[in-house]
Amino acid sequence: KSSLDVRAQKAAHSKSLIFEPRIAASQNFQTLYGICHAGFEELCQLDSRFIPFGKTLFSEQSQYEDRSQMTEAENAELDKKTDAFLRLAGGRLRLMPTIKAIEWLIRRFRIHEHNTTMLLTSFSPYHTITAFVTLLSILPADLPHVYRFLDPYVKSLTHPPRSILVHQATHNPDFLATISAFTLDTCRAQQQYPALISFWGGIMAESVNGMLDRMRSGRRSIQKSNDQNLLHQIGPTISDALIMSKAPGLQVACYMVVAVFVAKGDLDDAAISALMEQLVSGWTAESLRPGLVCLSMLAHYRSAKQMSGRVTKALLKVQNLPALLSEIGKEHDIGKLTNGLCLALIDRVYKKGDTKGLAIIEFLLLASVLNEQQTAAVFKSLLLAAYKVDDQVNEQGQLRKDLASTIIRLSQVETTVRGIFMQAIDDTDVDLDALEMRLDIQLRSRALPEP
Amino acid sequence: DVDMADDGTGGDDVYPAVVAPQRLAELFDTAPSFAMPPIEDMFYQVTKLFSTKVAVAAA
Repeated sequence: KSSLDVRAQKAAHSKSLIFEPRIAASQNFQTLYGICHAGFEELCQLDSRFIPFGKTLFSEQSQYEDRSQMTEAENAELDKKTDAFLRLAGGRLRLMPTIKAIEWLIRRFRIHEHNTTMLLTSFSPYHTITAFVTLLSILPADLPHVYRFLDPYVKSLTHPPRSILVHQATHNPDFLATISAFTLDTCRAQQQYPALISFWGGIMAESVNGMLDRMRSGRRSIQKSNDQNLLHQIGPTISDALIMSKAPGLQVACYMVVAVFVAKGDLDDAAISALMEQLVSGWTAESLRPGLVCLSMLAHYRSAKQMSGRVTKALLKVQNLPALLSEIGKEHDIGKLTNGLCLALIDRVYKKGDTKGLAIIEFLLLASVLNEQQTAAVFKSLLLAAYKVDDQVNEQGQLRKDLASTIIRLSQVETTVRGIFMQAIDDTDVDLDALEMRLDIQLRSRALPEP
Repeated sequence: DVDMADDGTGGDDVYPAVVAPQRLAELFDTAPSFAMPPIEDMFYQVTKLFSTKVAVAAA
């Protein structure tokens, strides 16, 4: 029996990311430590955040630590350290020093057996590189449930193609949840790297697209419950990612997912409004432009017109908003967002006496980002606001003056929108004589005697 | 009163986007995750695929 044990131990000891099994089996921990620690030291030079692991996973003492001799608590602590190390090392898995360092954790602490899910997840953005196949070759035969789909690739020792990962994420909520949790935790720890963000964003976007296709049902009640299930499944991840201001890349990846979700799914207004508010509460200078594009897509699929107070306030804080919107409008349909913003700003004018928005409205009405009907509707609302503005919010009459001069300037522009404004004036049920008197302006052109 | 809802983008004419899964896959299959274009570029490519402006033009 004991010779069987020895053989089993030797076989286990021969599992290596770097060495042939025969060579690996003959190595002692002191030799290995020398090789692997050199890799670890190189990592520390590349990124000082690795240094603290020199006191734990890579300490001199680690050479003599045997997992099977540790208490449960010590093992749990080791798992935590391993997770933290793998998250940080994830960005450098294509570098030999990283592979050497991970080799230590595999040989000494058997993380391929004890932390299989974490190890595979941290390698998953690199499923096309040779090291991934090497990793598959040393995993225990009984893979964790979430990675069972890799069995055929373990047997054939080939790379799983991206389509298999997408398929798995589409059909197995646990897999999508595993890579999402890893990605978000990594971002929370400020250890994110572009490969991870691209990997997660791409898999997430494609699987959401796939799930929406799969859940399509002709029966309304089934469709409704499918939509709810999907929102329940991915909503919390999206919400968390949207507000992660310290990881703007993750936010942009999330906008990508939201764009797919809102364009293809049949989300109700409440869900869309919630996404809009989360989006604007989390965006930063770096994620602002794609954030605005995503916001415009959300607005496009929402039936409510006016932007909510929170979204409006967030938009008002954006520097050079009108110019930014008109620039974005050249490539994207931002009509509904702009329209909703203008209506909300007009609301603020006559409800709160806040005229800051007037300049924005004026700019946007002339920036060709609204279609004809939207332009007419915003202009009509402006007229209506001027008509309704009361003295309570207008103590010095300044508000009325500001509104009047905006309306006058707009009705005198020389571009084609002037026709829309004139038509809007004709179409309004507002008593124009009264309005002109109130504002002390003249809106309709009258035949003036030649000077 | 002015009809505030009359802006021509009422919910009735907004339909879910129809995008074949292959078209989305093609975007991401161009390179491994570690060699992909910046995420912001990927975002714009995805939005182009899903925005109605492009869908109409392509029809």
